[in-house]
Amino acid sequence: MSSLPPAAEDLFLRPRSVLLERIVEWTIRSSAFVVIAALVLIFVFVGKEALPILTSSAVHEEVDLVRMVAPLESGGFSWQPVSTVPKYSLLPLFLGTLKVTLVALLFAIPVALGAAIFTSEFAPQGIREVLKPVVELLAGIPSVVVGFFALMVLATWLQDAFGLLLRLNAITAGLGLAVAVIPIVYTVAEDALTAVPQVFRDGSFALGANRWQTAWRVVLPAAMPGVFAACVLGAGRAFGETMIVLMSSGNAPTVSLDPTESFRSFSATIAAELGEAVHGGPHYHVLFFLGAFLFVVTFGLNLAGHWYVGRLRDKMQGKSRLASRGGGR
Amino acid sequence: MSTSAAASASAVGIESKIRARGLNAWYGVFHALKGITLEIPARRVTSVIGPSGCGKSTLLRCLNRMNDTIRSFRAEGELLLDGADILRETDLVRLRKRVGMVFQRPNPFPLSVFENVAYGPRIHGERNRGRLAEIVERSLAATGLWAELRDRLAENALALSAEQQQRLCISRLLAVGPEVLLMDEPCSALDPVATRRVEELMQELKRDYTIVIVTHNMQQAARASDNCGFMWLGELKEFDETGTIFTRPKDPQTEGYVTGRFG
Amino acid sequence: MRKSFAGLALVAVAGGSGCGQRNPSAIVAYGRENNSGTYMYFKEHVLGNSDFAANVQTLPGTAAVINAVSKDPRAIGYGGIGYVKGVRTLRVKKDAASAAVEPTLANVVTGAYPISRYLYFYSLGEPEGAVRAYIEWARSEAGQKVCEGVGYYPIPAEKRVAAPVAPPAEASTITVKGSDTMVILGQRWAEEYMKLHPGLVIQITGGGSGTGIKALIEGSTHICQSSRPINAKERDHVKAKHGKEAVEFPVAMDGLAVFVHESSAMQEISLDQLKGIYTGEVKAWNELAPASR
Repeated sequence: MSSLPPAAEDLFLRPRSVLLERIVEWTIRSSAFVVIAALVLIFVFVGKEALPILTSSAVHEEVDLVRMVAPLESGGFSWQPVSTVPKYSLLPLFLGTLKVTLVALLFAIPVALGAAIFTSEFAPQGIREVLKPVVELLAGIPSVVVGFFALMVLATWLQDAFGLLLRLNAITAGLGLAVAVIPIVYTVAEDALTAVPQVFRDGSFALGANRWQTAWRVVLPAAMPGVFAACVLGAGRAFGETMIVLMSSGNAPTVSLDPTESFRSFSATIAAELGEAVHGGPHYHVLFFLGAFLFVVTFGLNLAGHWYVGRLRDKMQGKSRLASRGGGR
Repeated sequence: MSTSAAASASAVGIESKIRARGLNAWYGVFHALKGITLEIPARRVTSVIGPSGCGKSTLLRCLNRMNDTIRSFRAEGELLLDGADILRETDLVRLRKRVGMVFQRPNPFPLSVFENVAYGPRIHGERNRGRLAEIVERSLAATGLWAELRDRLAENALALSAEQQQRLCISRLLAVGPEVLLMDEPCSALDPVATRRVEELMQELKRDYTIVIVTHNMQQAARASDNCGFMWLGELKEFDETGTIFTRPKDPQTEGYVTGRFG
Repeated sequence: MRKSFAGLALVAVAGGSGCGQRNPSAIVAYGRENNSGTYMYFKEHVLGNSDFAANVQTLPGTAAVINAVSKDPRAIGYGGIGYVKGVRTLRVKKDAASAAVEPTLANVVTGAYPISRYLYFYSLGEPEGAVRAYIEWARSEAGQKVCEGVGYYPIPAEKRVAAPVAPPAEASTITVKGSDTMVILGQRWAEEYMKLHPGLVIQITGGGSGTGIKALIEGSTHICQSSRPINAKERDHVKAKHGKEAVEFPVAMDGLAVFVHESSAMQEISLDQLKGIYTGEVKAWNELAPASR
């Protein structure tokens, strides 16, 4: 303030600028409101279209919750929505989604955390300034491009390297998905690691620890809440990512946890089938039900992650003990 | 308090642990230490006082090469630990095992009390659970923490009080079996009662360890140290027995500082 | 750390179980997504309305199927004839006793090739004005020439329109939506027709036959392009919403080609064998009758 010329300083005190400040404040406030409202509206819309699965008797002639979960009368579990007797078992889709998410995280988390640890603990300033933006740039690659790469190139490499029967499987799709997940996990984890106070590192070095021991045994545990949050965000992305999986999974609704089998995921199913499903028909409502399910799971995952991170952070700062013992020492 | 006894004992013939001759150091072009020459006696408390930015922390951090992580830092001259050159030491792990450091703000790791103390031995290769437990108990006992914390070893160290945390940091150092303890204003984050306890601890520890303490607090230097050095703009103006520095300083700047006329 | 060990274990299990080498003769079957007319057609005419096996991999588009088959010696796939490139097409037999037929123009038009189909235009009620003119032109001699240019087949002469009406003089826009299979064909027609009648604008979008029919039901398109006939339910929807029939016009013919990798020993296949493969009863190439191999 003091560096401003007196005339400019005056401006802040004029009633007109008070009005301006109000307007700005209200704009910011209402944009926050818009975001929340959009979220609620989306959920209401998805939920409304999903609801007939539970309530509508017309839909129940073809499908209900029990038939989606329990084994079919014809035996086994099957996803055949376009059929003389449509079958809507969720199990194949669930297993497919689960296995591709796991494979993606198994690849992405070690790579992303390794890169984050390298960037924050080992890389010289110059390399760090290049590495971080470059990895973050990965997040900007459209997922359809990643999917296309997985479909055309990655699938062939993996098939040749491991002699896989199927080109399109959970490993191919999981690796493609990892490309989308890595930047998220990396960015958040790197921020968490960088935020660890230097005094922890100094303490460790002063005990004769080398950089690797310091990074692994002190910095990483100290950054655990943030690193965990990074992994949860990554899992959420892997769970909901559509285009990469649609293109590189083979979309076969098999009941299998074998990562070398082709599979069909929730998100890809919605993307592939919603365009075709008869508006208002059972298939249409089932797809919205899947959408609502995805929404709830990702939301729940983020919420649980948030809660756990908070708890972890408190524990790190020794707060849980104070809380449980009423602050006594 | 054994200050006067120690001072009288530090006459000729006392074994010196660290010896510096013409030690110079730079941060880039800034000349931080100018021709430091001193001898730090073994199993005594040596304090270094002086105004902020005078180079006392830099001197301390030369002793275990903590400044190596700073790219622009450079040190020249002779700095010997038991006759071996510190500045040319290639095995930093060995050096830092021998010369440990306690920092201004207590910095226990966000791990349990036990893991904090066991950290040093673990990184130096101790895996035996029984021996680790023994080391932890001995190290905590040496700082008086064992009695207070024996039932709380699994608790997060960050839940301890500041003073307990600082004593834990000292225990953590002792666990690796050092010979020299460097303390960089170890009490500046503590209240007077806690400060007092840490000072008492230093008196107990000096039976086995050589202690070098950097402090802002002149009463602390007077109370707790046997030898004292006064630094001013990168130079060691005066180095003598603590009693002499505070009662009959030879250097007018030292006198000005210890009598509180500046600084 | 623990996680990455679990990962290694997973890969080890996958490798150790030998999924990759289970059966060197295994068939890898590719098909189309269930929102495509091709899927419906294949299901009705080849599978006799049985369900596809769960492990049939579905890809978005015939081009993707051909690409996948071209890279995999064990693969089989199907799709519109118009696309074929880099793979070998099999001769198809109606049943074990009949002759194997090459998917050629002549064979599709005469009906000798067993998996051929009509491609359709649908309009809301009897078309009028420019829409009628465009549909009639597409079904005329001139319009049918375009089909051959993009790898489809003309409709038999008796179904063609001899003298298409001219569009009204004033400028107007015709929207066309539907089958992905027909997008290129539709665009060629539109280009040609717009050249003849510069005042007209014809917009073509894909999305799948189902999407096109849905647009017709919603009244958001003039013409729906579909690679399958509209079903009874959809007809009812149109009638209920607009009080008009969906009027059907066959506009071209298409054969579904069956592809295998260029290195495959297969030369011909019967509809029964195809059904066996796609319903999952036949899992390996060596289970097929030796005669066809």
